[in-house]
Amino acid sequence: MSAPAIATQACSKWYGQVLGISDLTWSVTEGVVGLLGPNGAGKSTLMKLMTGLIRPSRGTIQIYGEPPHKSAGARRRIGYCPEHEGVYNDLTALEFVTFMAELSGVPGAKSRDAAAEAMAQMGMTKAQDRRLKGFSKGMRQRTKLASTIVHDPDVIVLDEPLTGVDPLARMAITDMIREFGKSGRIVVVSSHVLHEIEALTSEITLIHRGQILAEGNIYGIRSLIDKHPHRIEVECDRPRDLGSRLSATDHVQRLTFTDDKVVVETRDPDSCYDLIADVVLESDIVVQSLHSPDNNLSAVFEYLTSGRQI
Amino acid sequence: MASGGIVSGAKATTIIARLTFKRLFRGKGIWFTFALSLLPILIATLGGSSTGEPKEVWGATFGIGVWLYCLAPAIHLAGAVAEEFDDKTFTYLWSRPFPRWSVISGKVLAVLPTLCALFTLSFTLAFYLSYRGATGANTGMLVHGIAALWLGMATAACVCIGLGSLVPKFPMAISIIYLLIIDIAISAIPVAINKASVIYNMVVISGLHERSHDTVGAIISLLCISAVWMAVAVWRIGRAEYQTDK
Repeated sequence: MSAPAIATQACSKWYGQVLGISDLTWSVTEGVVGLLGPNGAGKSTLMKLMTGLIRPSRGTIQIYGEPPHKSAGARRRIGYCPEHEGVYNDLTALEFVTFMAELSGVPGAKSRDAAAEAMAQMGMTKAQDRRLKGFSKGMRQRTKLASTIVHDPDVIVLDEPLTGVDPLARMAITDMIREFGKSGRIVVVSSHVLHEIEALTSEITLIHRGQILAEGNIYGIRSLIDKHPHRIEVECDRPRDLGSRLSATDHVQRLTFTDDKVVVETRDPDSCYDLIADVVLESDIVVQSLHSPDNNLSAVFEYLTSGRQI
Repeated sequence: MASGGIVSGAKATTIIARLTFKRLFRGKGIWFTFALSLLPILIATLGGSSTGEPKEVWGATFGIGVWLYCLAPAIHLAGAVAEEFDDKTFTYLWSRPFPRWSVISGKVLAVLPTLCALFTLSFTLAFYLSYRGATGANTGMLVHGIAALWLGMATAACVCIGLGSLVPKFPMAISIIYLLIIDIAISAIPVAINKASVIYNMVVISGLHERSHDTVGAIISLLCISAVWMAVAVWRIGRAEYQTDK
């Protein structure tokens, strides 16, 4: 049986006293996999381990059976797009991608053509002869992505590729990542924004404090997340009237009142939002604001990790 | 898209040398170095127009020039490793299939011959200006001087890269402090320990040292100093794990 494309076995990484990842066993064999977790969860550390930038403190990491920090053969099969914007600003985009092609083993005579093709794939042909110094974040990101795929790698590792890019570039990059997956490559893409990952793949791995919380199909993980008691804060003129009407339903678990606010805790947020709208209309309640403090990934992770000793 | 493959150290060295060469001539640092290279010519011109003995003028020119020959590698090579970490561009290099030491060898291959060529021109001109209208100048002295320049500059480059890899926060400042203060202090020690000084060995090879004429010993000393510092740099770059987000 052939080795999985990416495999970690009891892999840990510390930066001095700071934990990067802890005792992580994980593998990827095909398709696009989303690495999802809040900032500082260990996503970038895992990606640096995959690409050979750092060594594990304990355990192993292998790319097609070889450790990437030791084996050029493993790194040959990887294309890595880091999160940061650092590039050689005094080079043109085409020069940069051409050099990266050569350093990835594309023969010198073919490297320029390969770079031009990769730039074209990113829609950057018109700008390819301009120096990187004057590029916007989106243009840099596309150039970095061109340098990631220029040597036709088997495994593409993309660290937060959508952070800070404009909507047009975001759409183009999302389409491109999906194309990579369809072309049979393995793509690992990280983000701390759930809907970004949802737009790319249905296979996700949730990572938090250096450990894997859950992995698999996004719908399964979604249902796990949906079990999370969801709080809705309604600021209105008659919070107690609103609360008394909501308390009659099954899915509302708890109500907390202040002078001008009611906090509803529910296991079925969609139904609860509908019910609030109905009650407000029927009872003529004036609502100043309505928001959910739990409508972010960090809150979900806090819920999923509650009770776990990490 | 063309498929990639493993890149040998020698091949990666030439690729990085081309990359460095291109960036060198697009940056501002090379113009500062060009201005520095004119200083020996200026000193020889001023000294030659005074009543000084040609050998004294040449000695003074070489003495000042020696500092500049150390300064130039500090400017261009001390940050060879550190700048990749500062700019975070190491993430593109380290994740590619070639040995890390090629980054050092590639940069040295691009920068050192450029600096040697620049300073050889300036040095030769300064030599003839020092001896203009006087007898006593011979090709042997110039050859010794140029040999001292090349070997000294190569050794200074290795020292700077080694120091820069050990202290990546302030590589240029540390290199300049080492070469212009510590190295000069070592060269003044009147026992064999002065052979650990780059500048001492350069002066011996140039034939301008008052007591020592052990050229072969000085060459061997410079080679040893270079080897030690280069080994430090290669070891550091192989082990280096810089944190970008912790």
